[in-house]
Amino acid sequence: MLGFLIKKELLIELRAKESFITMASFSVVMIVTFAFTFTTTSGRFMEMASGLFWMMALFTSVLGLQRSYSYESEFDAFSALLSSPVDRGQIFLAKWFSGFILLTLIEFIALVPFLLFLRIQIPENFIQGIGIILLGNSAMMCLGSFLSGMAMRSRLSNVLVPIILFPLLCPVIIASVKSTGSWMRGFPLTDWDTWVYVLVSFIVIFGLLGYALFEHITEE
Amino acid sequence: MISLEVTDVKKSFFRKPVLDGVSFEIKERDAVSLAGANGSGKTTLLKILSGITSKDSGEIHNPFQKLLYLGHAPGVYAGLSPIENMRLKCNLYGQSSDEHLLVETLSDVGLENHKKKPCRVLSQGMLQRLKFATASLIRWDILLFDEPFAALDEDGKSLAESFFRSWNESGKTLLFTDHDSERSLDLASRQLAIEDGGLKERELS
Amino acid sequence: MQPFFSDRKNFAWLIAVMALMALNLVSIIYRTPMVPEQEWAQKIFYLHVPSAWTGFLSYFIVMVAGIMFLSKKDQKWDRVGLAAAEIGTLFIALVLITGPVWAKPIWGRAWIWEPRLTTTLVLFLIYIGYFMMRSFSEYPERAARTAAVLGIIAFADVPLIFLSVKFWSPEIQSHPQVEMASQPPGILLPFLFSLFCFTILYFLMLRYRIHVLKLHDRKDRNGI
Repeated sequence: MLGFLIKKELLIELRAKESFITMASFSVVMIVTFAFTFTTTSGRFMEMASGLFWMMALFTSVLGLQRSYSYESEFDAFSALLSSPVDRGQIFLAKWFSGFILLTLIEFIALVPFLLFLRIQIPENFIQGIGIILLGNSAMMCLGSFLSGMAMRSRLSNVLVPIILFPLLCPVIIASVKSTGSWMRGFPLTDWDTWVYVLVSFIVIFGLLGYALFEHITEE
Repeated sequence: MISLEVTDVKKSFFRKPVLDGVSFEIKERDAVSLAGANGSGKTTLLKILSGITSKDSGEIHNPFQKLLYLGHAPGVYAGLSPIENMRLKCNLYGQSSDEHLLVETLSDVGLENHKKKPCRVLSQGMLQRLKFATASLIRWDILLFDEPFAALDEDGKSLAESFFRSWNESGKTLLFTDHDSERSLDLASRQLAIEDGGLKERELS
Repeated sequence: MQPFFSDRKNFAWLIAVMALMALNLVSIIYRTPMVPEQEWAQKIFYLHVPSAWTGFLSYFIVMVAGIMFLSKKDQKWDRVGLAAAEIGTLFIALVLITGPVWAKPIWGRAWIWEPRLTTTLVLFLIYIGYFMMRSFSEYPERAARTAAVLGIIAFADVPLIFLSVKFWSPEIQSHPQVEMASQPPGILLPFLFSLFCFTILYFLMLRYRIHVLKLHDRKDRNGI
């Protein structure tokens, strides 16, 4: 069932391509804005690269989160989904995983202009870097898709989600930025594995809470 | 014989009770129509029965395996076509989705020329027909249908009535809301009405 | 339902709490020893730390009330949660005000990204969102449910927030209350007394607020 639900999310996205186009162009616009707002000596950007990257990821993810519930409410498709014999927790997991796939895809596309325009060199050990990006994205989309589901039926939900989400995500933001920074400077994993543990525990805690509590927030 | 039992269900919005202790029973093979003024809580009751809205208190015992809820809104994804939406519904209800069957069902309700368009461009009447296609495709045990005759033209209304007649003939269990008491009399075996938050059984004359 | 303080027992509690707080103030001003190099600035800690304790206790109560509300679906627990959220935020705001007041003369800067203070700030921001979520909800019954869930999520996040801000800037010195062991003796007793007074005050405030919210609900229901 989970497979069907994820396929459904991605199919809707594939038909409209709304999130994909808006998220991808927004991330490129952000990169160019970074280049304008900070001095363009390449040394500076190397220092700030991890922070800039996650700032881009964070703001881009909000666009995707808004889309993923707005098509649920358009023809009240969400009610039809809730009334069908599907476990609510699985609906949450499908939202989370599909959002994660989409965000990761966008980030890897945006990585090209990111490295090119900001003249950033990535270290050779790029497997670790990919691991950090996957963990960070997963943590962000986990709480993100939960809270957007919660705010979906509120007024001003578009504004409400980032206001609540960003402070709650503070451990994820710090951990992602710190671990990416350490990795880019070529420090061994043992120096910054604390941050990996923070990310993993965040995913475990809020993944379980989201799975258990989603039922309560989806009921009208 | 199994039956859906609702005991003393209460629900309030803005601290005002909409449903104030509703109790009734729907037996297998019952075709029940639900009447009531606008805002009397018909839709709320249907949504509570299908688990979309939570109740404040009371008991619902539902032994029917598969429940299909067709709400007032189209209840489909606007970006997907009718055929994709139908296939999705089949998956959600654990049925196989044979392409021929999907096309055939859509032809039955007169949507064969619109099956590949996104639902966003379909008219209200077409979306209403799509609900009937869903109802005939999904093998439900109990159907909750909110305003089945809304937005339909004369042709659509007689199509809808023929669907109801065939369900009655095959002894299906269903609950629907309708304003037209004459039509309800024709299509339902029992009539219920909500008044002042409570439920009354109307005698069929 | 009569006003809260018309009840004789509640009124006695009010008098008792007022007397305790007055006594606490006298004790802080006259009875506590001066800490070398900090002098009067240090005295704010007899208010700062108890405020932080009551604030976090209150947010803990929000979480417990949230769990109870989701399992029991009783409006009573929503009122408890809302009252605790409001009063908790009041005390947390007090922490955020008294922190810089102390930091300016001692550290030379009004704001330092000290882990406890930073955690408090982040939690304060989360609760700003909590109140926005409540007021932008469709109707009060749904607001109650989302608030309960948010209260649980917020408190579950506290350990992770604290851990991450702590390792985020390890060079920043820790809170002076940790160094209390090295301070002159005679600090501990008045500090514990202040903690006690704040806790009693908090529970009286909480009960009062719950009572008021109950009256509000009753008014809404009767449509007055």
